Parts: sequence; C-alpha cells; structure tokens
Amino acid sequence: MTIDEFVGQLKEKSNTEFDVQMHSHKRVYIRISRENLITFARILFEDMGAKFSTATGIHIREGFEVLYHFTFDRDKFICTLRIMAPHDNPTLDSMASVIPGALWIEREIYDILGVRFTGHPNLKRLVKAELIGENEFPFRKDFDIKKFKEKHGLIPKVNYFSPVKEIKK
Amino acid sequence: MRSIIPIGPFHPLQDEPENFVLTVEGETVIDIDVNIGYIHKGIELLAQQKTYDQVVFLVERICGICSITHTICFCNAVEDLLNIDIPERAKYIRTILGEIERIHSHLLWMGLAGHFIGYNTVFMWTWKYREPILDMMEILTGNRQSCGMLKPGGVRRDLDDQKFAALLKTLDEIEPKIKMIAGAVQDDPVLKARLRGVGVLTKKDAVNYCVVGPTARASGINIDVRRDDPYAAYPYLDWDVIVLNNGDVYDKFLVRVFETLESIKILRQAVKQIPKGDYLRKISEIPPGEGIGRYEAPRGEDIHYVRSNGTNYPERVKVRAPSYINVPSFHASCIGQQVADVTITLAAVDPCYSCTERMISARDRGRSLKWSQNDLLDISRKKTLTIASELGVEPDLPRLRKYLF
Repeated sequence: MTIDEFVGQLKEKSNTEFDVQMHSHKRVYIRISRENLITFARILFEDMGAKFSTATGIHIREGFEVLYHFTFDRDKFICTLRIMAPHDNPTLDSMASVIPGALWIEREIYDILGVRFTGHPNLKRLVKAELIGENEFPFRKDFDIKKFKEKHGLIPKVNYFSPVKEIKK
Repeated sequence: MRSIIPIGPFHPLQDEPENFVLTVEGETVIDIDVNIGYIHKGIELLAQQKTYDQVVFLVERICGICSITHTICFCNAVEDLLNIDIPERAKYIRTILGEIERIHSHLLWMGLAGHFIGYNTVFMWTWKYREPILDMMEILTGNRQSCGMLKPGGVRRDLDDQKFAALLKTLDEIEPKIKMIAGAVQDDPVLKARLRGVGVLTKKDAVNYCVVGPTARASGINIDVRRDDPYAAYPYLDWDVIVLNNGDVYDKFLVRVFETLESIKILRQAVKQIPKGDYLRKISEIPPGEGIGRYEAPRGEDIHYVRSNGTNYPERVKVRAPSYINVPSFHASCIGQQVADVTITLAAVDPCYSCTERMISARDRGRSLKWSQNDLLDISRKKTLTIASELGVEPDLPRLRKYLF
C-alpha cells in the first residue's frame, strides 16, 4: 500500500473530506476536525492495522494542536493526524477506549499543556513536578519560566569575588 | 483480603526511581499502578531554548546508556524535515556505533535480569563481557558513553580505519562467549523454571498496548524499524529479525541473546563494506517545517518529532523513548501473577553456580591457578546436566540452533 492508495482508502472508509499534506514518500500529515477523532482512530488502528506510536501537543497561535503519529510498519510510512483544540474549550475525545497504548500520552499532554481528554479512565498528572500548580502548564507560551523560578527560589546563587587589589610595596 | 504493596520510588533493587503500587490478594496480584515523573528533567522544554547543534548534545544526555540512540533519532528527524540524504560513510559510521551500543545494552539487561532472579553468575559473566565492548567504543570515539560523534547531516568526526582491526578482534573474542550464554540459557532447567510462562504478554495485548522492540518481538509481532523504516546503512546489510511467539520472560531473554549475535554479524559486514570519502554534509539553513525520526533502540522503537519555525531554535522537540510505551503493558502482563514473579526480585533458588570472579583467583598454596575458566565451565555444565536429570527435565534442544552454529 503506497501513501496515495492509503489516502484513497481512508477517504472511502471515513466518508469525510480532509486536508492531506504529503511531506515525502514516507510521511503524510492529515488535518481532521476534532469530532471525527475516534472514527479515524478506529479506522487506522482496527481496520488498517496501524501501530499508535505517540502524540505531540503544541501550543500555537490558533490553539492547542495535537498530533497523533500512527506508524504503518509493513508499508513503511507514518500517518500523522493533526487536530486542533481551541483556546476557549481545550477538550478532545480520549482514544484510550480504542487504543490502550494511548493511556499515558494523554495524561502527559493533559499534564503539560492542559488539554482535557473526555472519557479517559484515569486522567491525572503524570510527569510534572509537585511544586508546579494544577493550573500552571509549562508548555503553554504564556508560562513565564523566569517568574516561576523566582517564585520558588530556583535561580542559582552566584557569588562574584571582587578582584584582588595590587599591593604596592 | 486485599492489601497494597508499594515498591519504590526509592528501592535498593531499582536502578531508577519509579513507583509500583501492587494490589494483592494473598500472593496473587490483582491490580498494578505505575507512577513515574520522579526524574522528569524537562528536556523537551529545554530543547526549545537551544540551537539545533546544542540540542544534539542535550538529547545525548536523555539516557545514560542510550546516548547514540537519541542522537541518531534526533538527526533522523532533522534530516527528514530537510528531506536530504547523508554521505555513505556517515551512514556506515552511524550503523557501527549503534550496533556497538546495542550489544552492550543487551548484555547489561541480561546481567540485570540474572541478578533480579538471584542468578548472579549470569550477572557477573555478562557484565564482564560487556567491558571490552565499551572499551571498543572508547578506542573508536574517545569516550565510553556520550561520545558526541553525531550531527545533523552526518557525523561530527571521522573514524580511523586502522582501529577496526581491534574491533574485529574483540568481536571474535566475544562471540563464542555469547553463544555459550545462549546455550546455557536454553539448557538450564533452573532458568527455565524461573522464566518460562512468567509474565506472559499475549499477542493481542501487545498489539493493543502498542509495545515495541524485543518486548513485541517476543510476543510474535514482526516489527523492527531497521527493516521497516530503513535509516543509516541497514538496507545494504544482511541480517535477520528475531521473532519468538510465547511472550514470556524466557522468550524476551532469548530474543535479546540472539539479537546480540545478529549485531555482531552486522558489525562485521559494516566494517568490511565501509566506503572512504566525505562524512558530513553541511546544513546552512533549516526552513519552517516538521520532521519525524525513528530509530530502533536496544529497547524498541524510538521516535522524535521536530518542528522548525525557520529560526535557529526548534519550535518543539518531542521525544518518545521505547520504555514509555512498553511500561504500561504491565497492566496486561502482571495481573494474575505471583508477587515474586511480578517484581522478579525475590531470589530464586541458585543451586549450581558460585561466584565466578572469586573462583578464578583461587590459588593452591602459591602454586598455579586451581581452576581455569574452562574448568569452571565444565564443572557448571556437568552440574546443569545432573540437576536436569534429577528434575527429570530433558536439556532442551536449542530452538534456534541455526543462529548459533
């Protein structure tokens, strides 16, 4: 199955229109709306036999972009689903009921970026340190690292030695 | 009656802090929860504040023993972003370094596995054989770990062709010893009793939890990034992907042993075929875009995602190490097991071997060495056979003899 055949099959099975961005003969990026996420996850994982590798959350101007990377090991390419969660309502459907392998990565994206996944069985913090508050998300662009360090006294203390004066005899 | 056993975050038997919460009924585990985040270093956020050349050194320090893994994976991602090919010599150098790392990493795991089931002979021997491999890394690159050899577009420094002779010699010395371990593992009734049928991960669970690497290959899933998404010089080389079907700890052990032998095969071919010429392609500008890099780490598929905004600093670097996706599969493989099997910590009976290192230096009142290494091997083999006959277990014919001889 080449990428072109794959895109054709996906259009047929999902019955929806989507943007396709072909990066090379090994990578393809597909932009879908967030209502269709579970449908696409089912088609890719259950029907087409893809392996879910990981997801990436990025804060951009328009909102929170979450990329789901699906690898097709037999056909030697990666399909990435691109989904946007807007600023005013950062929620997405959880894939964990379809793909148990997505349990941790959804917790991580919730933890560092603040995107909520509805339907996740155990949506709690995963990696963030305890001194970072529940509503502070370090991967958001408005997170001020300098201010955070000052607040918690994490800026290293540097002692400067004054230069030694020359002693005249 | 249910009780909860917390293991970690700090425990003498763990190498790194992580917390397992086992819910047990009697001796049987009915639920497991894994908590991580005790050594979260914030490397992804830090990478956004560094230039591409600096990020290479940063990702090299993600893991103590996988320094080559993450660096090649990041370089793959940047090269995928730029859609370029790298010089042939650089490809071979990457292959050589990666395979040396795979050998020492697998030997390290075998030793630790032996240690956790209370079989310290395996621990001592494999770690002894691991040393010359690390020394080879030092001879070739100047450092045993974190050698700083890689760069997007190729490798930072060239390797000296004169030094490959030493590498081949070490491989010749190591190979019979690894084969000896492979044979011993397959013949040993104690290891079999302790490892076979323990912690089974079925193929269905392996697919659902999306596990990668030796964990997946021991459960019968035929994946290997070196073959499925070829990078470096692997398309030019001849080697096999080891796949076994039982999914228990024993098969995971065997997959790793045989992969070590395959790595030796790859290294020999790579050293023979390596071409002369340029080793670095100059990259002057990184345009806006995104790239995904994959790499078959010793523990499985490593994947990096890089997004560039056209400046010198990456917009986002995402790292997914193989253990991140393998660890949640504990939910499938541990439930229903005994506590001792789950932690693989409580010592198994260790009836036949004694501590090898101590025995080798035993002297007979100032005369020559009492037992040489070969004598010790003979003694242990005889003892294995005796125990096997006493237990009524036939020494198993190696299922994968073709890889051994």
